Amino acid sequence: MEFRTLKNKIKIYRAIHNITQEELANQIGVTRKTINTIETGKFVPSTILALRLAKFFQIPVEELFELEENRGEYKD
Amino acid sequence: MKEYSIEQLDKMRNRLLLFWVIGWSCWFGCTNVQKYMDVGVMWGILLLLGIAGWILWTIYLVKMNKFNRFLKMNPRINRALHDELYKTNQQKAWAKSFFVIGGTVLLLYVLSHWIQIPAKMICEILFFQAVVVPPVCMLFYNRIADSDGVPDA
Repeated sequence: MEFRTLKNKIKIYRAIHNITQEELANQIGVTRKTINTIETGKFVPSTILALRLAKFFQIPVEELFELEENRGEYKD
Repeated sequence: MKEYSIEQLDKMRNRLLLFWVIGWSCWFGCTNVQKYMDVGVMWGILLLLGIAGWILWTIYLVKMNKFNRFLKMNPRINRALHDELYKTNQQKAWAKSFFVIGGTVLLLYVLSHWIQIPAKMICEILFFQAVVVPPVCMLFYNRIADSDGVPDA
């Protein structure tokens, strides 16, 4: 069984758009804490929030989020 | 209410919850310690602490109601403050509280084999926990979410 984690490029796109976590949070309608935890991989956002973030950066959602594969393998 | 950013309101909400819990813990805790334990000379101190706790609890209860009224009038801010992370933390806090209270019930059940515990005291201990543990867990999870220390990169 493969374990996968969600990797994101929010930090990169924030840098490209030159906006802070707080500004992004205000635009999306969440708290800065939420953006921070998504960025650091502590919190996995819902599809709706992921789509809202992708829409804000005007990129496809799979460009912003991707599955990080083969992080660990479970053997029976 | 003055103009506040969502970030400031989030911090304000945490502070309100923290002082509300401290006030309630002091008031309810001290009252029950006085009631069930032989506190001797500490009686006066506990009484004062209990009164101070009640005052703090009342002040912050009023402030919390005012804050909630403000949120009801501002749906956009309300939605932002009750976002996905908040709801997830809330669910985790309820789940943790369930296990803490369950553990206390088990502990009291085991203790009741050796000592007699009044039913009223058990109810008060469980009531105290039911009120205190969920907000404490909530504050703990909010703190974890904020513990990265990367406010803006």
